[in-house]
Amino acid sequence: MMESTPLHLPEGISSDIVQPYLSCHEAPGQGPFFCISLAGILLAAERLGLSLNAAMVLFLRQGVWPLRFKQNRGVFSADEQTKLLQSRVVVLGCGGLGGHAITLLARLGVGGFTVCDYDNFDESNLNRQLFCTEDRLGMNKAVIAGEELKRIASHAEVRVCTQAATEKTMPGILQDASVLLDCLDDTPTRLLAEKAALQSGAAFVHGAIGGMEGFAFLNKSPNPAKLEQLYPSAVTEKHTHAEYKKGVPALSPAVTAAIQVLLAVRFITASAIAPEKMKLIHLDLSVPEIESLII
Amino acid sequence: MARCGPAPSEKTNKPRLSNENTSQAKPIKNFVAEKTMQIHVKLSTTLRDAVPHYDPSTGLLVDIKPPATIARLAGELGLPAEEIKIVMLNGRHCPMDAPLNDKDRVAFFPAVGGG
Repeated sequence: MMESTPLHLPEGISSDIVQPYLSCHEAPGQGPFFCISLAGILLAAERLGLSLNAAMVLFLRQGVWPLRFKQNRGVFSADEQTKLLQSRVVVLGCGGLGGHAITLLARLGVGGFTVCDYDNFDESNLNRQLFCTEDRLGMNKAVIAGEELKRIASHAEVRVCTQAATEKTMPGILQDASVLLDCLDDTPTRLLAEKAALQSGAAFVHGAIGGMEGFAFLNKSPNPAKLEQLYPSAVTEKHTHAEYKKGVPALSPAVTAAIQVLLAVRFITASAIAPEKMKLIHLDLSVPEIESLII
Repeated sequence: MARCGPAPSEKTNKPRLSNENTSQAKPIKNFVAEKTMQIHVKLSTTLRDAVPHYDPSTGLLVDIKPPATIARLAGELGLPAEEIKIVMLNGRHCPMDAPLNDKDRVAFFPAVGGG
């Protein structure tokens, strides 16, 4: 099959060099396509003096899929996969929501990350936070997230920020970002993050959890900040927040983070964003049900 | 005074993927002789504690005399006003003083900020 399928390779890469790393696959009804393994991409990147990420983009432009993304094909086109590789996502908070979100974004193929958390893993995080393990208690969450990212996706360009998100630090954190994922656990910082993201031109994806329920929405420039409309007086009333009474078991952060990632990826891969009413996605795993509410 | 009660659970294993469940909820008490409005109410997280035996899969059917606002509905249900942060009327964000109509769907949410 390989002989009869036209193979196009990036300029400067001959088929002799990468032949051992290529495989041909058949998608029913779509014809054959080529994939290249990580070892082949590494070789090509070295030859061309490029980063792994840039080499992956070159192969995708020729319709040759990095083998790691073979099963993304069908959901994403080569163009969409390229957009993901060329995007940078800021994840504010690397705990319950953040750990799941970072993992999903990396596996989907986001190529740039800025992961931020000033906090360290605590024993009470073990019930839900993906990167929290017994041997990591006391370690900084963003540092561990950075290490995990490199283990999942060596091509990803990762910046780690262990500072708190403040008016002063937000512009630096948001540098080059397409999207900011709000995986925080305190409302004042969420409000600050939304304003800073919209101001910088990045989309803002809110996520919050309490008990078996979760909430998520996408906001993007030039819309006004939405969180302060939803929670106008929540800043001073943290003790009334649902998570303080209902806890946060493992399920709600996992599913809510998946919804946040879906919103972020849809924003990154969209060719043109049609104006639409902003929706708050509410999920209630105790039923279970998911609903979209217009906000 | 509004009369309300938890509706019996649906016997289904399928997760619902929309807010289309109003037809399934039934009131335990519904013997109001005078004309009332019937409101389908959903409560989130901590607000459920205000209504004993609240069933999240069906919500509540509440009979209330017109004219009524969302704030009056919340009061008659005994929901703690200071904990209500977001109100949705028929799937849209709405203020507490919005008027109610028969068959409206109202959802009350507290502040949720866990991450």
